[in-house]
This record gives sequence, structure tokens and C-alpha cells, in this order.
Amino acid sequence: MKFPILALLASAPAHGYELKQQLEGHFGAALPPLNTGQIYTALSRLERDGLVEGDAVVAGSRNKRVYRPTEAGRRALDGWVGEPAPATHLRDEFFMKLVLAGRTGIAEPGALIERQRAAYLQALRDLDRMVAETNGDAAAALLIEGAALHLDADLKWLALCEQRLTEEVLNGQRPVH
Amino acid sequence: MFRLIFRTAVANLRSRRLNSILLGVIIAGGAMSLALATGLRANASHPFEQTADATNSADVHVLAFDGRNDLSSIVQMPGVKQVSGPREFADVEAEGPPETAHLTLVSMAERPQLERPQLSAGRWVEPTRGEVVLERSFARARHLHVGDWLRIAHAGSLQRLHVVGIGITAARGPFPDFEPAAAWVAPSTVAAAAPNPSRRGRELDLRLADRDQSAAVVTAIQRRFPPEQVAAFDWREVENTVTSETSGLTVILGSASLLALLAAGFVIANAISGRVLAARRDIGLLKAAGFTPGGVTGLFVAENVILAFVAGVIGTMAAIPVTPLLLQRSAELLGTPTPSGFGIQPVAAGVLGVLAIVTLFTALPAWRAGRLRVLDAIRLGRTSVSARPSRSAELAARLHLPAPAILGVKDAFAARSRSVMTILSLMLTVVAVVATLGTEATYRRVVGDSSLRAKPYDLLVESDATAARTRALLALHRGQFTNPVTIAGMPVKSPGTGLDIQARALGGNYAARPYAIRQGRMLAGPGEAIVGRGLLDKLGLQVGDRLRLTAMGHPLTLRIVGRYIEPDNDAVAAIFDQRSLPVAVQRRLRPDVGLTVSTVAGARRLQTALERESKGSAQATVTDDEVKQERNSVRPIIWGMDVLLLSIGLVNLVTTMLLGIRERRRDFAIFKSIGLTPHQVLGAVTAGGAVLALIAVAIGVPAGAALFKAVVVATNPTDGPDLGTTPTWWWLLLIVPGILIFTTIAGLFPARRAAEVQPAEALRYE
Amino acid sequence: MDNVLFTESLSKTYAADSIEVDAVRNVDLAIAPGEFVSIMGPSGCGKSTLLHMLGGLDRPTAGAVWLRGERVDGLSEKGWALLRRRHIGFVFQFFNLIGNLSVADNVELPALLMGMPARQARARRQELLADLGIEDVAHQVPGRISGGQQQRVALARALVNGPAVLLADEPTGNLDSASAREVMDVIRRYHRAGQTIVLVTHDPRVAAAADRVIHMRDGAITDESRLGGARDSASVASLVRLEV
Repeated sequence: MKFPILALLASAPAHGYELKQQLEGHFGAALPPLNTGQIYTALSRLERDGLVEGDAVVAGSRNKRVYRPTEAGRRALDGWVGEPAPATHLRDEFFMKLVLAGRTGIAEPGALIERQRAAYLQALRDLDRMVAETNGDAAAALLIEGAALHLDADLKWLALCEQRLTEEVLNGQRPVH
Repeated sequence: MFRLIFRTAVANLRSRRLNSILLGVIIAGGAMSLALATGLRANASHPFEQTADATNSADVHVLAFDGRNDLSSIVQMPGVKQVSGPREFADVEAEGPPETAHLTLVSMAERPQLERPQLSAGRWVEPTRGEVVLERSFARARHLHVGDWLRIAHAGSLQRLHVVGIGITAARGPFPDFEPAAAWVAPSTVAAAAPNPSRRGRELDLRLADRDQSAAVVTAIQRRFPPEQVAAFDWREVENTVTSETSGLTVILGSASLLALLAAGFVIANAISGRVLAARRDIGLLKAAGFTPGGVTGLFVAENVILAFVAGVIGTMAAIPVTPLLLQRSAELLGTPTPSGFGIQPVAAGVLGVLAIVTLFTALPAWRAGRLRVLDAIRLGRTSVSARPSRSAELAARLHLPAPAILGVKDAFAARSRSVMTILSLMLTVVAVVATLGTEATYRRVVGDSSLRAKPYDLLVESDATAARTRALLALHRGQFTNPVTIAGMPVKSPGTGLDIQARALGGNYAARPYAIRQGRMLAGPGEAIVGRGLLDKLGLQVGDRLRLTAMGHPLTLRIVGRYIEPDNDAVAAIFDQRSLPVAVQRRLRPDVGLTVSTVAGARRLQTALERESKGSAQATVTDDEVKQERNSVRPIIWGMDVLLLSIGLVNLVTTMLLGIRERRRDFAIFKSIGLTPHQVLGAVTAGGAVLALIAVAIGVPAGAALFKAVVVATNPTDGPDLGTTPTWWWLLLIVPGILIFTTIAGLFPARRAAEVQPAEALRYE
Repeated sequence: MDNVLFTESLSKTYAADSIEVDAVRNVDLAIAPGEFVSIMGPSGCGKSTLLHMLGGLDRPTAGAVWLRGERVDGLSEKGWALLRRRHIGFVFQFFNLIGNLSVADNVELPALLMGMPARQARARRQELLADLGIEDVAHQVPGRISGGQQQRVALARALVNGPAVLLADEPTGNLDSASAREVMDVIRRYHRAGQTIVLVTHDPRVAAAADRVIHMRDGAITDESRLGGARDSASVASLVRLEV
């Protein structure tokens, strides 16, 4: 949360409640519901790290402090903007299940794959329904597309796992259940 | 670059083997037709000249019927440049079947330079062996060949002669129009046939310094000797007879060969264009691979020229042995030497003509296609692409035609160039049929009305005897004919212009059966004349003007009262009442007699009777038979060319349709996927073909009739316009179902291919 | 049986030179009326061949197919053609419209083939053109309209006779994502109205529109997933939540 706040402050100084409103306005349903406490916690940390500075405290209203970024804060923001995000990684849990199923026999790998695939397909189906409910929220629509494409890729990876599995069974490297 | 083009061209040809072979067959057929047609045209033009040239024929021929007169004075006449003979001859009778004919055995140990008979089969006679060389028309009429024996009578000690050769001559007209026919034998044979030398005749042939003086020389000779003892005629008389007998034939053959030339050329062009059109997609790919538009054109031209050269040579070579077979008939009919197939003209026409047509019709569409953009060309090869919905489909839908018909009709016009080509190809067939029907109609008309041949009589009696004897002979058969008209043919001149005119002086009730008058009226009495168109044109006269002639040495002035159809002598002819001539001249006339007989059978009976009773001095010709014989001789040639053209047309049509079907495989798969049964796909293809066929008929029938008339006029400018007949409308109507059947047959194989398209396979890739 | 389509041990083997390829192996399939089934699999797995066999565009080498309770695998070309007219609608990846007929004529064609009177066919055609939102291009040729529109024309043509089953072979394979969505919207709509649909695709999002997803590999069915309606949306929601 800290860099998004920093970015908002860089464009215009604001206090905590305004920040909350702005965030909800830009991201809408894509964000989990925020409470102001989270915002203030984040602001305090930023202040502690010297990335933002707050106005003088107005007596009696801690919550109306207006913050703005420091030089260090702006430099940190530039860094954040310039650095590309790392790629997402695999669903670790499923991967572990699959490997272990094959090696330890706790589950039948083929069935695992089938169940996962069914889950992905159902997710795709549900995502499609969500598209209808976005009501022109462009950011949300983009996000849904992103998720669907990821699911596409996951399904492809599943198909590859399945193929390798078959080959290993045929080559006698793996017992057939 | 050249080598690349060559190698690609050969590879392309080999990869599309079936198509290349089909195309090669069409081109070879076309080349063969071109060669044959050229040969036919050459043969049919100026038949007399061909024979005269081949035999170095003389200008004047003199026949002394016995040994009385001294002919040496003729040799010394001014203007005589070269002499052949005198040669002895004896008149004998050749025994039938069918009946006896008169034959003149001419003594010719060796063939002379002047008036040299040309051998068309066999060899010349040996001195002492009783051998004979027969003149070709005689041999043909009597069905005699080399090796046969000729039985003769009234020939002294001779009873038979061995036929060792067949020859042609321009000194006489063809048998049986000129009788007696000639036959050449050794001197000893003549001696054996007529042991008394004074009974032997002598013939003399003269070459003059000035050919045009031949008529004058003939007149001079006639003045010097009694006509019953010495006869003289010039080359013109022979030519007239030959030409009059063959003029109709010449027209027909000339027209047929011209049409065949056009047709063959067209078929080749059509086939080649179709092939290039089908390859448009390949053109796109070639350009994508780096060929320039010029390179593309060069490649296609190279490909097709290679094919054309090979096929053209094959076709021309095939024509070489066939030409004599086809043209022998026409040569015999025309009295010319049989052309061999090795003539320069036919070979050039076959090979060069084909190459020229192929190059032109490949280069043009290939160049146009080469200018297409790459992607457009590739897309062209895929599904049917259009810019606008098919109007023909909308029309068909509005007419509530069944769905397969709608689909077939819209596809018929989808590829514009191809449908145009198909229509033109079908039109060719239609035109060929119309031309044949026109020929038949013309003949039928002429057979029905012999005045169109300037022969308004049913039986013509020509006699050597005096007029009185002929009259007596005819009187014996008084009840079998009506309206005898005397016809005396004579060469006349137009003073001043020196124009030679063929004239006839009529006697009797000639007005009862008039000539075919096209302008003005038939002559009614002396002082009037009817003339042919050629005479009017050459002398610059019109109906109503005065015509001055010199007839048999006497000046004559006549008023032209009408123009009639005269197929002979380019219609430079005149007919007048014989009473226009002075009485003295009239008495010298030996006219033929034209009789009207009510039935053809009656005419034939009369013909037999007269010839028998006159003991051969009279010759009778049934006009009807004459024309019919000519028509029957011509028919095989015409129909033969027709069959050839129709076959080529059929192959061409099948090829075009196959190419079209191959382009549209995907469409047929789509049809099937929406539920057309195989029969309905077949129906769609056939419907498309039928629509094109109907269009071809609608345009082709009037075009064919016009073309036929134009060709007849072109080959017979004087009377073509009057003679050429278009076929009756109900014959033309029959062409409609005929062409539909033709198209359906052609479409059977391609349509089956279309119906058998496997949808899964055809739809597999884009 | 009241399955719309039923197959038993359906197989297809191609023989080329001396090599035999099993394109489809012993497929048992049952499709109930109103069901939307999608068939997925890697390329070359035989799904298109299976679909073609269901519609008679290809012939099985073994096995049987029943359509509306009648055995159809042995029908002649003509028999299949008559069947296709009335009971089967086909949609293809490359549209396969007739290039020189207008859009309206393309749609009307199967109706005319079936023998519908001209007026009725015209009415039915207008209905479908309106339903699929392609009225404004009704008089243009397919070559002039976009891919999405062309596929909708193909759908209209396939549905004009109210077929018992709609067979779709990679219907979105040649479309951009926006057009693909449009087309899938149409298909879903007709499914909701009761149309039985069998759809072949390699795109999982398209496949996920179906009630039942059948997965094929190497010519055989490997598994089948039934997809439900309303699901626990929390897990899906979590997919689209930003993690902050």
C-alpha cells in the first residue's frame, strides 16, 4: 500500500481520509474493502522511514494531518515506478501436491490434474459472469482479463503435465494406478 | 533468368499432367485443323489454274477428226509460239458398266513439254503392251484403278487395254460433262484401234505469244476449216466448263475452310486463356517468391509455347497423311492435282499459326494477371470472392427457381472471364451447326430451283449432230417433255473494252421458264438482253442501258432489261434472243436444247433413251442430278470438318468446366454441409452450364447466320448475297435442345467430380 | 432414448501409403436435449474429426451414431444431406459462407432447400438477422463485412431451420477477442433458449461456456468436467483482488 499512497501524495498532498476515497475511486471493486486504520498505519510507517512529512499537528485532530512526500520519498517513488514487477509464480500448493502424489503415492496424479482442470474451467466460467457485472469499470475488466489469461496459461501447463505423465507411464518410469 | 524460366515451365507442365495433356490434345487438334483448312483453301482456289500450271497447258486446242486436212498452216499462223503434236487419236467405245462411253485414245509415246498430262497414280505406257493411262475423272466415274482392264469396242483388233496409270489434263473438261474423255496410249495401240490412217484423228496444241488472242486464233481456225472436220477451242472454254462445274463447290469449300480456320484458332485461344486464368493463384505465389511481372508473363508464355510447339508439330505432322485423304476427294471434284500435305502453307499455318495464337493469348492474360497485387492473386484462388452480390442469383431467386439452380446460375457468372470463354466456346459450336444448316438450306433451295444456277430446265441435251437431226430425235419423244428451249453458248466480246463475255442465245418459249431475275424483268423478244451482275460492274452499266457486243464476228446492240443470277464466269454473262442475230449467223448455231420434264425419274428415263438412240452423238444431263451430286460430294467434307470442330469444342468445354470445378471445390463442400445432396450439386453445375448454353445460343444463332452469309458473300461476291440462304427457323430452334444436350454431356464428368467432393477434406484448410 | 446425439465406439482411421493413423478411437458420447457440450484438446487430438462425423461430413470406420433416436452412420450422401438440412446446423472456423451471395441470401438458403415456402423462408430469415444483430449488413456480400459479423451470419444460416443440434468447429478460432465474445454471447443466448450445442475448441474460455467439457487426447476421451452455475464466488473473487 505504501507506494500507491506515495504516488497519490506526489500528485497532490492529502490527508488520510482523502487518500482512502481516492484509492476507492481509482480501483473500485478490485481493492478489498479498506479501513482508514490501514491507511494511517501505512502513513506512519512512511513518515518513520522519512519518505513523507506531515503538516504540523493541528490541535485536537490527528486525523486531519496533511501529508506530502519528501525528497527521499520522491526518489523512492521513482525507483518503484522504474522497476518492473516480478512475474507471478506458479500455484505453489498444487505443484507440491502433484510432485508428491507422483513420488509418494498419496494421490493419483491423473485424477489430481483432472480435478484441478475442472476447477480452472469453473473459475473461467465464473470470471465470464463477472465481466457482465463490471458495468463499465474499465480497471476491473482489465483485471478480469488478466486473471483469465493466467488461467489459460495454467491450463496449458496442466496439459503439459498430463502429457509428461503419460510418457512416463508408457516408459515404465511410473507405476500406473 | 532464361534457364530458370525454362526449368520452372517444364516443371509446371509436368506437375499438372492431366491438364497439360488435355490442352496438348486440343492444340494438336487445332493445329491439324489449321493445316487441313489451309490446304483445303489453297486447293479450292482457282482449280483450273492449278491443273493448267501443273500440266503446262496450251492456249488453243485443235482437233481434226480425220486425216483429210493439212494442219501445217495452223502451225505457221502468226502469234503461235510453240506447238505440241500433231498426235494421232482414235475414237473408241469403252464398255460399261454402267453403259458404254466414248473414249478418245490419244497416241503419246512420251509426254511432251507442252500440254503434259500429270500422273496422279501409276506410270506411263510402255510401247507395245496394250496399256493405257486414263484421265482421272473418267477413271473415277467408271470406278477404274491402276491394274484394271478396260474393255473397249469399235477398236479394230483391240478388245481390251491394261490400265497402268491415271493422269490429269487441262485440255479437256471433266467427264462426263466433256465427252469423249481422253486416254493416252502408245502409237501402236492407236494404229491397232484404227488401222486405216485416214480414219485417225489428229490433235494439235498451241501456245500463243499472247494468251488473250486465243479466241481470235480459234475464230481464225474455224474460218479456215469446215467445222465438222476440224474443231478448235481455247483454254477459256475449258476453264468455263471446269469453273462452272466447280464454282459452287469452290464457294462451299472456301467458306468451310475459312470457318474452320477461325474456329480452330478460336478454340486454341480459348483453351490457353482458360489455363492462364486458372493459374492466377500461382501467379500470386510466384510474385511473392520474387518474379517480376515481366518474369511472370515470360514464364507463362514459355510454358505454353513449349506445349504449343510440341502439340503444334504433332498436329501438323498428323495432318500430313490426312491431307491427301481429305483433299483427294475435293481435288478429284475440282479436277486439280491432289495436294500433298507437305505444302508450305499448311505446315506454316499449323505450326506458326498455333505458336502465334498461343503466344498472344498467353501473353495478354498473363501480363494482366502479373499486374495483380500478390495478395489479391492469392485470394482469387480461394473461395468465390465478390464485391457485390450476384445479380443473376437474385434474379433466379425471384423466379423461384429451386435452390440448386440458383447456386448453379450464380456460379455460372462468378468468374467473368471464364464464363465469357465458355460462352464463346459454345458459340463456336452453335456457329458451326448454323453454318452447316445454312449450307444444307442453300443446296436445298438450289436443288429446288435450278434457275438459281442459270439452268432453268430439267434436262439439257447437247448434240454434235445438226440442229435438224436433234429436232427429229426429240420429236420422237414428244410426249415426255414440254417447253423445249434452244440455248446456244458463244463467247462474245465487248468492243472497246475487249471484255470477254459468256453469252447464250435463246430460242423457243424461253419466257415460260425464266432465269432467276433479281432486277428488272426477263427478256421478251429480240433486241433485249438480261445480264449478270459481273457484267454490269465491269462495264459500268445499269439495267436499262444499251449493251454493245461482237458475237461471232457480228456487232450487236441490245437493251439490258434485267439482271439475273449467274454463278459462272463471275457473272460476266449475257442472255439474249437468238433472233437478235442475223439469220446467217443463226443458221450456223448448234444450240443445246433445254427440256422441262415433270419428274426427275422421267428426266432420267428420257436421258437414257436419247443417249441410246442418238448412238452417242447426243449427251443429256439431268440438272437435278448434277446439283445433288455436287451436294453429296461436298457433304462428307463439310460434315467431316463439323465433327472435327464439335469434338474439339467438346474437349475444350470439358476442360474449361473441369478447371472451373477445381477452383470451386470449397464451394461444393459448403453446399454439401448446408444440405445439398450429391444430385443437387450435379444439378447446380448442370444448371450453370445450361444458362451459359442458352446465352450462347441466343447470341450464336444470329451471329452464325450473319457470319455464314458474310463468308458466302466474301467467297462469291457477285451472287453470294442472292444465293446464301439462312436455315429455316424451326431448324434453328432445334439448336436449343441440341446445345443443351451437348453442354450436359460435356458437363457430366466435371459435374460428377463436383458431386464427389469430400466436405471434410475440402474444408480442412483455408 | 431421448438423447439428441448418441455414439457407440465411434472410430476413424486414416490410411495413407502404408501408415494407419487412428484419428478417433472408440468414442462413446451421449448428448441430451438442451445440453451445451464442448470438446477440448490439443491440436491433432481428433476433436474436429469427431465433430465432422457427428454431422456426416466424414464417415466413421467403425462404430455407430444415432441422431434423434435413429441410426445415421450408414446413411448415403443424399441421406445425410437431407438430414443436415433439417436437423443439423454447422458453423466453421473459417465461416464458409458463399462468397457471391448476399448475407440475407446466405441465411435463407437452407430454408429454401428444406422446401419452406418463399414467404415463410423470408420471414424466418428476417427473424434471425434481427436476432443476431446483422440486419444492417443484410445486403452486403460476406467479403465486405468483419469476421465477427461473418460468423454471426454463419450462425444465422445454421439456425434458420431450427435444427436439433448446432455443431460448431472452432467458431472463434479466426476472430479477435471482441468478436469472439460477441459470438459466444450469441451461442450462450441460444443455449439458454434450449438449443443443443456441441462445440469444438482449443480455447478454454470458450469451452468453459458449456455445461460439460469433454477433454480428448490422441483420439480418445480422457476426462469430462461438469461445470456448474452459481459457485462460491469468494475464491474467484480472490483471483481478481489486488494483493496489497
